[in-house]
Amino acid sequence: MITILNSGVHSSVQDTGRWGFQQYGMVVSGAMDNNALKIGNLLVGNELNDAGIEITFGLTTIQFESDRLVAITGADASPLLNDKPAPLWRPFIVKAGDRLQFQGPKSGLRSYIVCAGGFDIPLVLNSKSTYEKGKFGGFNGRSLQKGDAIKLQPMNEMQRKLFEGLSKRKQHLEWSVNFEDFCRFKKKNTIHVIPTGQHDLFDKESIAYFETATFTVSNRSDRMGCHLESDKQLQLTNQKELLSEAVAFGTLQVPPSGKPMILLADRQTTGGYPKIGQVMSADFSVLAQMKPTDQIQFRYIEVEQAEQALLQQHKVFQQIKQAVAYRLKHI
Amino acid sequence: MKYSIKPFHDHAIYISFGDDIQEDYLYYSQAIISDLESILPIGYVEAIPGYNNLTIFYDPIKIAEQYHTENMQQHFIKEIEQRLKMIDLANPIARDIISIPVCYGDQFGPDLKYVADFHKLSVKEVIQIHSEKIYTVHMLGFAPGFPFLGGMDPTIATPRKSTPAAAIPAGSVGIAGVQTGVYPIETPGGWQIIGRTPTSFFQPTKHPPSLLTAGDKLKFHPITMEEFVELEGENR
Repeated sequence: MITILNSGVHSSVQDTGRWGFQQYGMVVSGAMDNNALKIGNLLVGNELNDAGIEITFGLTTIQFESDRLVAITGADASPLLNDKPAPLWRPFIVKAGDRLQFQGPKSGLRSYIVCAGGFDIPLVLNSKSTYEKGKFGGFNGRSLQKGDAIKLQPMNEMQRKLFEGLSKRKQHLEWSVNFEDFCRFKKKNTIHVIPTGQHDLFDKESIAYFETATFTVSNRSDRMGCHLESDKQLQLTNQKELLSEAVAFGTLQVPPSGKPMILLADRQTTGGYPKIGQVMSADFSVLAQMKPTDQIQFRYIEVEQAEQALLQQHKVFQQIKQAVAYRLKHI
Repeated sequence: MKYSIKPFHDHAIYISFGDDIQEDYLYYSQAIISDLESILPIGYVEAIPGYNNLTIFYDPIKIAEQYHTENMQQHFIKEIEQRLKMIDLANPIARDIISIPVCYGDQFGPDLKYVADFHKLSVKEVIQIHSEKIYTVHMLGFAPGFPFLGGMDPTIATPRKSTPAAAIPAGSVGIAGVQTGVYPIETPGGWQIIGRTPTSFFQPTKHPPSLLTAGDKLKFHPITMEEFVELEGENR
């Protein structure tokens, strides 16, 4: 079991999302940075889509009530384990009574803590992700609060062996996963956009501005979407009422304010605002880790280039998977 | 069935049936979804119907690994085109009309009087107009199980509130412009609320979780407060 001593700014249980029910209007939710969550799961021998705790803006404190193999990935919020720096991007062990305290993030926005065995939380529509608006999924259908006690499922044999192997070591492991192929944690990023949706309905000046201007992440951003500030409004050539249709993670929609918004994990399933494009999948982690005041420049690419970037990222992920499996075998 | 397919995302494609709104399009979407889900194409994730379109999500990595291709979308579009050629659209499934009990007005429909006054109608007339039409579910979205309903009599079309209410209770029946709909879960919203149904539109413990599917037909029938309380008890 783990106990939340301080919930921080926003923490919630998330897996890789509640897929398969969007035709009924069911929101997908899930981790904002799925790559970070998946690597966390790899490091402790979980299934890739298992749930972890997503910590936004750090400041969360967790107490472990039993011994456990764990890993922290995502944003570097300088976590302290009993007041000593805890490792990132590699597995380590905690003992009953240990306290893990996240500070404010030094780089990135969202950290993930993953426990071997996973949380003993019921599946709702095949997922453990928290859907706060619907008040279901995750831990009691809400974000975590001080005093919450979350049960853990038992570790499997391989995880227990890893735990024992690490217990015998005097020091932390000397290796960690290089995450830079997924997320660069920079304050200014180029985000690649596929020109689909209503891209062709925007006027020439708006498209030119979109491609050249620098957009600032607004502090109104949340798990539903990344709001962007800009000097100029993006406009359609002819104002037109659109019928609602599907949206996706990365959909760049432009409401009447003319300021674009990128839809994220807690987005609705459909939307009626014109879309100026879709952020390519290979940039999702970069996007999920951007903080208010960070800056974005957009660059249009074709679907084929987005596919190449995704394949490249997948190749690196497979390499990490193999390397981690090898290293874990030799602990 | 006439259609065109274009990219939607690097992991989704968009099938467009036309620029207008036709009930046939809803049946096309449902026929395509049920065909695809009976024999899943490799990489198929799920599909979301719109008024006149269907967006299909897939996993490009699964396609790349299965077919050793680097042009996953091209491959997926070809596979979907093959499947569409074989879908039988001759006999759309006949749908029953689902009857939805609604307790209109009073504390359940705080804006019913406003809607009546807006059109210089009596409250009774608004209830009658709203409950005699048969509505079509064009799509679900905005919130889990929230139906976008077509078919409302334009004589009771009423603009949204200028300031959205912070919390509209689950089951609330509302009007926004020429649309009417039901809020399945408590959420903020700007629709004019004219009544409430004890029928649950979304239950995450059920498969499927939503009472309605795009293409369904429904009718509202007025009930009293006593009937509401009784039905709500039964639904618990």
